[in-house]
Formats: sequence, structure tokens, C-alpha cells
Amino acid sequence: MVSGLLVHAVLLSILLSGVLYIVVQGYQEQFTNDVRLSAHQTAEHISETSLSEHTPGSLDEIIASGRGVYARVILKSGKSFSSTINRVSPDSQFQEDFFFGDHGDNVYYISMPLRYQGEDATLQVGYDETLIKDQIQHTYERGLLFVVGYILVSLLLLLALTPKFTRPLQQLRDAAQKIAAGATSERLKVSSGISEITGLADDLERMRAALVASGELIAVRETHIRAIMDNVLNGIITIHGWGHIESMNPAAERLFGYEANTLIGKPLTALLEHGIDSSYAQRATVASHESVARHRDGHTFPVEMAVSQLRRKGGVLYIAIVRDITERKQFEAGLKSLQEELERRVAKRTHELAAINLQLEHQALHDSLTELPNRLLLTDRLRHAIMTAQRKKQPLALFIADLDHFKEINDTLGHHYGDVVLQQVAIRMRGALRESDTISRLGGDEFAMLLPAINGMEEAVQAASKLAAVLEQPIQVEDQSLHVGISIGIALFPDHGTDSSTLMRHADVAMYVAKRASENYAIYNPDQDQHSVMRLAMAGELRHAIESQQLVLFYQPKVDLKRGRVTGVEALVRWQHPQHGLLLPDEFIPLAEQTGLIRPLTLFVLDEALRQMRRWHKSGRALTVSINLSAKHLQDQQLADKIASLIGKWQVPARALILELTESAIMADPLRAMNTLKKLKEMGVMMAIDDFGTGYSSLVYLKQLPVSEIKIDKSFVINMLDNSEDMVIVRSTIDLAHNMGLRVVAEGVESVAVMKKLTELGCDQAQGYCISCPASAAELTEWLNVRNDYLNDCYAPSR
Amino acid sequence: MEYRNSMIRMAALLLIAGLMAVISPLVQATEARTLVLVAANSKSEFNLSGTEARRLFLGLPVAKENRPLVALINHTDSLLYQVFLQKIIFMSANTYERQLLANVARQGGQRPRYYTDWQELLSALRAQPEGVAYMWREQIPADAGLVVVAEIWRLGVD
Repeated sequence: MVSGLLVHAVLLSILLSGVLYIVVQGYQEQFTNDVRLSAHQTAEHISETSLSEHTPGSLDEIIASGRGVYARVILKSGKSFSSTINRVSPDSQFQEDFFFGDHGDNVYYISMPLRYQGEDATLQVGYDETLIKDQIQHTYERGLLFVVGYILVSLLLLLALTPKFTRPLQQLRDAAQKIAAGATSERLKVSSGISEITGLADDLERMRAALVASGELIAVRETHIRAIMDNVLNGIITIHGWGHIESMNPAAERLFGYEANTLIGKPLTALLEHGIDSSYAQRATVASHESVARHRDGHTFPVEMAVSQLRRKGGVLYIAIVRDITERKQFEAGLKSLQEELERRVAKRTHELAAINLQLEHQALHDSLTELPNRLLLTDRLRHAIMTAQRKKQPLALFIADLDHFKEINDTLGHHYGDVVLQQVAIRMRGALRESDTISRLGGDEFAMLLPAINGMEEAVQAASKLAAVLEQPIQVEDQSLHVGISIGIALFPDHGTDSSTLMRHADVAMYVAKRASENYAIYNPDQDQHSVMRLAMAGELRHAIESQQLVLFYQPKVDLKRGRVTGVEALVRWQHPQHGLLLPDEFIPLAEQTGLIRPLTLFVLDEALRQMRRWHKSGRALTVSINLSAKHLQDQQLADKIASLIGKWQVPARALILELTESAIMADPLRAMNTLKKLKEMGVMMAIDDFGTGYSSLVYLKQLPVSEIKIDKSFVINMLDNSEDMVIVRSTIDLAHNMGLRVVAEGVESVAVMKKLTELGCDQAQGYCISCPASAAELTEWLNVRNDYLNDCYAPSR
Repeated sequence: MEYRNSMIRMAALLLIAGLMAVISPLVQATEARTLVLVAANSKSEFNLSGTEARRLFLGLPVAKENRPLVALINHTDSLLYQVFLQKIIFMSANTYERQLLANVARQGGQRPRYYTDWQELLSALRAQPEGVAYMWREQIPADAGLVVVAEIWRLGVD
């Protein structure tokens, strides 16, 4: 308040000074103007009136007006007259003034030129400045008095009114200090008649109430947060910016084994080996990372720690969330071990697979028996060899070779012998040819040799001769000394072909030529290729023949020798070729077996034979029908199902169907054949061994085979009356069969004598030209109608 | 009261002493000086009486040889200006200003221009043959190309 009053006084003084200055200036300005004008007018007046001798009076008038204190006219001639008042000496030195107060003599002296009675003169006038100065002083005094009075009144008002303002303000101040100190419970009470103060008090009270409410809310939240902190599973540690622990929750206490109050203020390194890095300060939140913690008992354990940063007044606060990851580490270690084990196993398996792949690749490209490249690899090498030969313009030779007598060895001595023979042959062949040559087993007893970069046909022939020579020596298999020959077909690039397939085909043709001619080798000759062309053409025609019903069935009856009645027939297939006439099975069955057409052909025969059987059965003739099956059929796992389907189709009894199999067909794969035969047996189908005595048979297998009939090969029957050995074989076979409970059928019965002898020997049934040649179904049916009774003589219907 | 008066007098004396300290050099400097009216040194020469000079500087039309004269107010020296007011105009500064404005407003024309820079004043004089200004004769440069058209008053002679 006092300072306010002081300010007022200073400001008022400045204001008053300004006003006084302006007023004083005005006074002085007015005075100066008046004296200058007055002096001028006086000089003019004297000049005008000087001729009338009134000048001294004019000077007196100046003095008499009270403004002038000195007036003097000085003529140029030196004469002067003046008028003055007592306080100014008429002889005082005149000093002209140009400013108010000039020279400090309280007189404003001024001179004016004039003409006095025709003479130049000067009017000197002095005006009294004291009047104006008195006025100025008076103004100053008044102003000073006003300022002092103002200050006094203000002081009185201040003393009177200050308590009214200061008391409630003091109350407000005390209340604000209490609130600031945290004493917010007491309600604010301030009484004042000043609305601004009561308004301020109300605002302060509302602020206090808001603080109370806010404090309660903060307390609730703090309790809530504390409860969370106390119950959270992870350890939470707050750390000062300089790395000292500020607080830790119960989970952290349990984690590290300390009570929180024992660690407050201690560095974080007491708990963690690495503490908090200074780099945290540059990041608001640090992604979780792993560290090593130290328990109170001294042991260390791995922890996962996530640090976040809180900037607050007084520095940075780090909040570290710590979690024990010992179990996870153990799990990870176990997992890592497992992973390593898995990787090791995978690596091992990969290595094995690579080895297997190599093995499979080897197997895919090599013959498993001889370890020679197979057809696939041969074809590939041949293609590359042809490209090289084309580039180098150098001939190459391709051999296709077939072993002689191998089938007999295989059939008579078994596959084991055949396999050993093939292996020995392969070894000898390898020794006979160059390292760069390729020897391949194409299948069965068929081989191929690729001789790249040869000089010509002569070198090829030499190689073929060498191959033949190495096979001239017998091959020793166990106690057997076996002879095999070889037939080699030679095709030369580029003379006999420029691509692999042509060379293969031409070498194959040459091989057949060599085999037919019983030569060790033959060079491809285009003229001889007609045979192979015909073979290929016939294969296509055979396929068409099956589809277009060109195949026909002929039936040869079988007679029960005891009762003299026809009990069954054997179905024999013929090909009614449009150009070549009726072809016998020997002319197309091997081709069918080679080309894979044997299966559809056999199905056709079965279907047709069963259809005919149904006709006969419907007409009252319960004949059995025998059908020949090759070895390939026995390997067909679907055969039994297909036959069952056809039997179902034609609604004929299964026991009326007799399937004839050769010993060789069964022995090619006895176990698989046994399975097929058992299935057929279970269906009720009858089985017979065809051409018995011509092939290799094992009595052990024979005993186990589900056959009901043995057919003695015609080669033994035809000359049995002239050849005692054949007779012995026939007799022995009949006895053997009967002893095993089998029925015996003799084939090739071409005379009544033989049939009678067979009857004597106890043979059950006979089949041959003596009874009937194979005939069409219609012819045979007619024949049966005529010869349905006991057959006294052989009867051969015309074909 | 007596004490207060003495204090006021003391303050007044101090003020006067201060003013004397300021003005004394000026008074010394004004000794033997002559207030003159000058114009550009042109072919046509003219003389001005004190009355004509008063009229000219009060903004009233004054012509010589059928050419209206132009007043240039020299404000480069406060003492010179007061002498000019006292010896030519016979008015105080404020009254002169008011009168000048009143005359210009009444008669038309242009208010005489004030010059506070000496060189600017000389240039204005040389540029206007009809221009008339007042100055101390002793202050006129020898090669300024100015001529005195009237001698008004000599300082220190009276």
C-alpha cells in the first residue's frame, strides 16, 4: 500500500512538473512576445511623434504602465533622454536580452531602431521580469502544495482502508499456505465486504475441494496400483536415473530373496550383473532382454528384463520388469539339445537318403542281377555317344546280343542257375570290351553293347568275335558245366542309323538274323530287315485281330477211355488272318507274349470258350473245356478275379473249366503261381499240368500244386509203342499221377493201338487225331451228335 | 515561509547560474556580429527594408522587379533565430508560428520553409534567385555566391 502511495506521488510529481513546465513556458513566451511587440510599437510611436516633442512622455508612459522599468532613447549624435524607476539606474549598462531571464538581472532589455526628429536613434527599453517570475513561483508553490496534500490524503485513506483489504487477504494467504502444506480438510472461511476477495475465497475453496477429491482419487488409484504391484508375478523394480533402486514389489523380493527396504538406495548391480546401461536413457522403452540375476544366497539365475523409462521432475526413473526364466532356459537347452539331435538325425537321414538315392538311381539305371547298365542308361549313353560321334565324325557300334540255350538252362536247372550264368556272362563280356564301352542287360538273356569311337566295321566285328570267344568256354555253376552261345546283331553309326532307336532296331534285326543263321554275329543288312518289319506289322495286326474277332477257337475233344465217352474239349486258338490264312498258335502266341498282347488274347479265349461251354451245357452236353495259360498269366494277381467274373457272366459251373499250365510256367515263380492256383482252386476251377515230362518239375512242388489232371506230352505218347523209353515214361507218369490222386490225359493219340495201350496202362483220358482233330464249335457239335456214344474206332473229322 | 522563499531563490540562482554557464559562451560568440538578409548573387540586385523583410518572413507577398521573393527561415542557430524574431518579426517564437500560419492560410501561397542544416540552406539560396534568408554576415562563406540585400542589426554595437 505504501509503495502504491509512493508511486502515486512520483507519478503525480512528474505530471505536475510537466504541467508546470508548460505553464512556465507559456508565461515566458507571452512575456517575450509582449515586450518585443511593445518595444517595436513604442519605437514606431516615438518615430511618428518625435516631431511633436512628445517622446519623453512616451518613455514615462512605459514606466508608468508598470511593465517597463527602464526606457531610453539614444540619438546618433550622442544625445539621450530616459525615464526609469528607482531600482534601476539610468546609467546601468544596457545588455540586450533575447531570452527570458537572460543576464539574471530580472530585467528584459531590448533595443529598437527609430528615427527621432529626422535622426537615427535607438530605443532601449527594460521590462520587469519579476512579475512573471513571481507568477511562476506562485504556480510552483501551488503545485507543490497540491502534491503534498494529495499524498497526505492518500496516506490517511490508506491507513483507514488497509485493514479492510489486508485482513481477508491475510486470511486467504493463511488458508492457501495450509492447503499447500497439505491441510486440506478445513473448510475455508473468509468474511469480507469486498466482492473480489469473497470471489477469490470461493475460488480457493473450490480448489481445496477439488484437491481433496483429487487426493482421494489418487489414493484409490495408488491403492489399486499397489495391489497390482503386490500381486503381480513378475518382479518390478524402479531405479533412479543414476542406477539406484528406488522400490521393488513383493514378487521382486521373492525373486531375489531380499526385503525391499534393505535394497532401497543400493545400486542395481547388487541384483543384476549388468545393471542398467546408460544407453537406456536414449530410449523410452527397451525391448525385453536377458540378463543374469544374483540371489541373496549367492546363486545366479537367468532373468528376462524389460526396462521402460519415465521422465519426471528431478530426473529419469527406470521401471524394470524382471522375470525368472530358469525353467525356460532349461527347456530351451533341452529343446536345443533335441534340435541338435534332430539335426544330427536329419543329417544322418539325409546322408542315408542320399546314399539310397544314389542306390536307387543306380538300381534305376542298372540291372540288379548283373550290375550292368539297363536299357534306360544304355539309351542315354547311346544318345550322348551319337552326339559325340556326330561332332567328331567318328563311327560307333551298337550290338544287340541274345544268349543261345539260356532258356533251356533256365527251364531245366532253374532260375538260380540261369541267374549265375547271366552274372558270369556279364563278367566275361566286361573283360572282353574296353572300359569306355557300355554293356547293358536289356532283359532276360538279351544284352546290348555300345562301342563308341571305333574306327569302323572291322573293329566292331573284332569286338563281336571277342565276345563270342569269351563265351565259348563252359560256365561252371556249382557242379554243372554249362555251355551258352551268343548271337550278336551289329549296327553301325552312321551307316545303319543316325538315331538311337533306329540303331537299336537295326541291331535287333541283325541279332535275329544271326540267331536264325546260328552265327555268332551278323551285321545289319537292310534286306534282312523285312522280317522285323513283318513282326512289327503282325503285332499291330494281332491287336486289331483281337478287337475285330479275327481270332477263332477250335476244340479238340477228350475221351474217357474207360467209358468211351467224350467228357471234355481243349480250346485251341487260331488266327483267321485276312492275307496269310489260318495261323496256328506257334505263329503268333510268342509274338503276343513279347508284345504284351497275351493277356487280352487269353481273356478273349476264356470269354469265347465259356460262352460256348454255356451253349453246350444248355443243349444237355456237360462238357469240360480246357484252356491253356502261359506263365505270365500266373504272375497276374488279377487272373482269378477276371475268371470269376467271366464264369459269373456265362453262368457255367467253375468245375467245368480246366486251366492247363506247363511245368515251366509254374516253376518260373512257384510261390506266386501257387497263390493264384489256390485262389482258382477255391473257386472250383480245375487245373491240369500240360506237356508233362518236357520241362523241369519238382515233385515237391507237384505234390503241393492244386492240380487235378496231368497231360502227358504228345512227344512221349506218339512213339510209345515203338520206343520203350517213352513207354516207361508214360507208364511211370500214369502210375505217379494215380498215386498222387490225379487224373491222366494222354495227348497225341493218333492210333487205335496207342489208345488201347493207354487204356491198358490205366490212362484216364485220351486226346489226339485218332479221336478228332481240333474243329470249330459247330463242326464238333455236329460230330458229337453223331459220335456221342462209345468210340470204337478213331474218328477224325475233316478240318 | 521565509525559509521556503530562500530555498526557491537558491534554486533559481542555481538555475540562473546554469543558464549563464550555457549562454555566456553564446554571448561571447555574438560579439561584433551583424544580422543581414542575403540572396543569391544574380544579375538583378535589390534591397529590402526592415518592413519588407518583416512582411516577407510573415508569409506576406513581397516582390522585387516584379518577382515574388521567397523567405527561407534559418533555424541553424537558436540565438540567431531569437535575434531574427526580436529584430525583424517583433514576436515570440510561438506567436510568430501562429501568425505565419494565419497569414499563409489567409493569403494563400506556401509557408516559408525552415532550414536546420547550414549547407542545405546555402544550396537552397543558390538554387532560388528569389530566395531571401537571414544570417550573420560573418558566417557567409566567401565563395557562397550570396549578396547582402539588407543589414538589419549589429550585435554588440548598441
